[in-house]
Amino acid sequence: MLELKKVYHYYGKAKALEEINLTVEDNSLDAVIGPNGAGKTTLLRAISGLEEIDRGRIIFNGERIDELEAHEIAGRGIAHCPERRRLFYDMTVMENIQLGAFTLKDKAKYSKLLDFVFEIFPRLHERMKQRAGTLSGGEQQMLAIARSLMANPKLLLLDEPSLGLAPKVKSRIFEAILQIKQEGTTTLLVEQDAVLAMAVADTIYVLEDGKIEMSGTREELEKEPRIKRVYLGI
Amino acid sequence: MMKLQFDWRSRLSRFRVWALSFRGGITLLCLVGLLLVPLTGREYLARIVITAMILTIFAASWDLLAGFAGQVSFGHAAFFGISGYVTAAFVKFVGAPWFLAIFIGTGWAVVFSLLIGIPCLRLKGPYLALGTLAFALILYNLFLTGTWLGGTEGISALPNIGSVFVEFYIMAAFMVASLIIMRAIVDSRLGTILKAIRDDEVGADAAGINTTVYKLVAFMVSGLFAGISGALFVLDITAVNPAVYQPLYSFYAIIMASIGGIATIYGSIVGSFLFTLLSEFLRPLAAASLLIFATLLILIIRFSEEGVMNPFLEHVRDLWDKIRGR
Repeated sequence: MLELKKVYHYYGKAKALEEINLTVEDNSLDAVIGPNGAGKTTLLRAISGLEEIDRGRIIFNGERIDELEAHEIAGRGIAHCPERRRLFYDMTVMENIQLGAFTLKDKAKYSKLLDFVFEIFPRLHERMKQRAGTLSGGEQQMLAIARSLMANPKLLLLDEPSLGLAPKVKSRIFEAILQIKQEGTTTLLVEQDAVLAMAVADTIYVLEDGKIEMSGTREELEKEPRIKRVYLGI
Repeated sequence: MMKLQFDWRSRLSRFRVWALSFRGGITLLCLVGLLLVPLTGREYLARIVITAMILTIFAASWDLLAGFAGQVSFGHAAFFGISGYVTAAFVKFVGAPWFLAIFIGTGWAVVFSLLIGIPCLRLKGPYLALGTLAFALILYNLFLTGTWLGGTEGISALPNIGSVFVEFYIMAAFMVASLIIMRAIVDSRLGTILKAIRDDEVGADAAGINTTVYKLVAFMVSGLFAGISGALFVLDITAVNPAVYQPLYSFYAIIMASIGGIATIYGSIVGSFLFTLLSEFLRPLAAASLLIFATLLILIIRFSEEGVMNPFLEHVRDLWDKIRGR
């Protein structure tokens, strides 16, 4: 579904992404793990068109998308759930959800998606008329994911969904991510909490200093002593 | 053939509910008070209120662009002025009836809002504000130094629309219609999209919203209403000169909208009426009046960030509830 070929991105002279090769297959849930500042967020921003890449190609469903505008990429079916949620805080929960469905024209699909997001996040249903800015951190994260899901994405990009959340809330969010996977939405997850990410992902990419240092399934990576030491604390 | 049905009964019952609500009651009261002004027979008072009504449209048009779409313009006078000039020129040199001239003048304001909007789209925050200010200053200098359309003298001695009281009701109709339309726009899906762009442009982009197009739409809609106010202003004072492009006019819009309450549209009514009445009251103080306005604005920003309308209405509501024993 998604293929990144030798992607480079610089912030001025600083290299943020270096020779990134990455493939996301249909109906899979893949994860990119790595320390702070490794380039995880930049990677997702490059895919969704919020950052212009300097070299390489990004191909989505056979079409090159690295030269498209962010809204055009969203129109192709890539929904980006950005880091730190980036909600419309002065708007209600419902307005945020409706804006997520901006590119969706099918009303029947809209109702179906709405039912699904309220099924995985019943709390949002209770708080439909509440301003997004007044929700708790966990609820805001739920809303950010719900908003992205409302676009009926072919590919969902999730940036640090566990950031700043209590362990119990993190688990709830990851349960929902698994439900999204079971529904058949292809997902690329970027996550600093490697334990959580490796527990749900099919393929895991380890990004360090803008480079993919390692990739594989959970079982494969768990055999690597450095991964065990640095990311899993074993 | 399909029959168009209009459910009067349901509309009437909805109107009754609105009219009996606190905000509906206050609105109707103010509207009745406004429409009674000409009946006092005081031409001077009618003239002041006419100015306030025109400036209300101008301030609300700025509020739509800055308060709802987050595109702060310091050069709003450009739309106001260009429409004023075109309206005056069509009335004076072509002999066009005033309603047609307003239509043409406003059309030009929309075209200019597009011309200003396109190059300014890449600018954000203070840079956008300065960019729009620069455009207004360019127009000011072009009209001041150019010999076309009257140069420094501008265009004067335009025919009156009618008696001051007829003009009053025409202006009131324009103000009410403009405000209702602007409020409907910000409450519509377009309004939600504009608020999304204001709150988080990256988030809006990621949601698939073509922010460039919608920001341009905001410029055009705002330019349209600023254009209407510019055309009405010129028809009211029966003259126009390059001073309409001065930054002072742009700042008037900002001051009036801020006094009433940004991102409210209706707050512009309070802001503009207070501004106009105070201007008249402080007229003997000449230049010092601006100093007083500036101080007033600082005090409002310091003590009532959301302007005076909403906090005032809340106080009145509390008082009303107390009187009713709630």
